[in-house]
Amino acid sequence: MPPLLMLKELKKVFAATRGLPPVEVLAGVSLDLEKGSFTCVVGPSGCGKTTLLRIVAGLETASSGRVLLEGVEIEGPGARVGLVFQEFALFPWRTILGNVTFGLEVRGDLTAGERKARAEYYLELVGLRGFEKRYPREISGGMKQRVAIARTLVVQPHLLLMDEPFGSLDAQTRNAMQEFLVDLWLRTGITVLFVTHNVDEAVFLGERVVALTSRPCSVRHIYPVPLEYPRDRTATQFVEIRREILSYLAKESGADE
Amino acid sequence: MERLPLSANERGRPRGLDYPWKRDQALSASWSLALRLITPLTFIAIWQLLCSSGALGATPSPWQVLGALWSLATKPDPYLHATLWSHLGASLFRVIGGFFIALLVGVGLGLLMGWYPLVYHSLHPLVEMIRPVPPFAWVVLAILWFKIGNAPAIFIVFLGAVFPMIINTVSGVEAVDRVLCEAAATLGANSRQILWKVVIPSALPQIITGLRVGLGVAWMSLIAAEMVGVGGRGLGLIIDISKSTWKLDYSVAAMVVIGLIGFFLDFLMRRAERALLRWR
Ligand SMILES: Nc1ncnc2c1ncn2[C@@H]1O[C@H](COP(=O)(O)OP(=O)(O)OP(=O)(O)O)[C@@H](O)[C@H]1O
Ligand SMILES: [Mg+2]
Repeated sequence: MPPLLMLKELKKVFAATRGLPPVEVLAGVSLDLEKGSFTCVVGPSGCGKTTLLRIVAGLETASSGRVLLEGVEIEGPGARVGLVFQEFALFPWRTILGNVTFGLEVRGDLTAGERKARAEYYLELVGLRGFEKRYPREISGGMKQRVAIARTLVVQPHLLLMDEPFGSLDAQTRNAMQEFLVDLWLRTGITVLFVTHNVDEAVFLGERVVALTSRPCSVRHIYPVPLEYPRDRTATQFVEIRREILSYLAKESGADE
Repeated sequence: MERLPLSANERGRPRGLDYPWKRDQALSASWSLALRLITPLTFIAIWQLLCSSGALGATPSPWQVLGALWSLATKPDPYLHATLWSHLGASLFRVIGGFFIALLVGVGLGLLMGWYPLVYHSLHPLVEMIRPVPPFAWVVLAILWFKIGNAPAIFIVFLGAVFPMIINTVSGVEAVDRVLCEAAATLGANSRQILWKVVIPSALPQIITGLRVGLGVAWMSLIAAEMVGVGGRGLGLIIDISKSTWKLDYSVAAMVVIGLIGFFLDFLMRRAERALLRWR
């Protein structure tokens, strides 16, 4: 079977504006994602990870190269590729339930009752039953992120992109969310592309960890993480892989300065 | 560790009262009602005292104004041809009618201007040139086009209301968080759905501010227009006619009604605002 997602020599240059020089962000990124896989991406800050996800989500166009989802070129944003934003991006005027039903509403093929039932199923999945009638401002950061995940999952995307989704959470909530995500992935079998700053997070979550070079970025190395889920952060092998990636990143961002 | 001396705040009242943004929670319902009544009542009392002492000359006192209100409301004045109710009804009809026409046009144009650069650039200069002209200045043209009656008065109301609505809607749309639009797009929304389901709700607080300001401006413009006889009836006309018949108490009575109606209209708008923006 061909990979679910194929990135072929993706390049991106932001054109010069306001007298600023053009910025070359992606210098030929190639990567394949198998269906049902969990891939983490780490790289020095500002190397172009967000840009990469935005291109895959169809929110940005690549300067050259191809993005093939199930063999078809991505043309603009749509429900087949779900994106979970770092800043949650919930609709503050909608209740939690209203946020989760949004994607079903715009699709327009279900009755209100069916939409509600489906949204409730996903709220159950992320452990947020009982909060349906709350507004986003009334729930915590970790809960907001789970709403954002449920809102994305409810339209059953073929690919789930996550851009440092737990970056703004405290350490405990973050760990809990990582465990939650692994559990969710094991149960749903969805394909995940997960961007993070945090190597510990990447090794805890991913079947492989893709390390990017500094800007303009390309894939430097792909580290397989051959560990059983749920993972033990203190296991020798875990620590070993983590150290290897960390020392690579330290070198890479050192080279940048 | 040595304890720092308490500030005046810490010693005195509970801290919660000190934050101005907690205005609503800080006061109990009865206390806030009392405050709301005390100032106007004091104002009326001082006014009455000044009149009784003769310091304000021929200025009608609150008591005389009350009498004037009563007679305006109960028997048609020969110069005014109708009771207060009929004039009040005319003014209300015009302000509400003009307001809703302005709402459709103003919010509609504002959304289009805010969302489509093409529309913005085509309309912005025109809007910004007509906006500074006071609605009242249109009176002559309004009469020329619409004759005397409700139509020119509604036109004036429309002119007063529509610009605050356009301006506020445009800036509401411009302030919409791009990330929310992108989130909607990645959930499968097309651009029409993004406009209806993301842009409009996001901009709603500011749209409502535009409606509120517009309604206030419209009410003032209407009264001014009625004072030069645009409507043939209306609260503004009471002021104008009473001026020629030297019935100062009628004038002030009409001013009081104008103020009360203005207050009431804004009260309705605030209610609507609260109901629509429950999520905040
Ligand atoms: N719209 C834009 N126009 C010009 N340059 C941009 C634009 N968006 C991003 N960039 C530049 O592209 C580079 C990569 O940005 P990007 O947000 O993808 O980095 P990142 O890897 O996600 O960083 P971080 O880890 O800090 O989130 C940055 O140097 C940024 O300044
Ligand atoms: Mg980023």
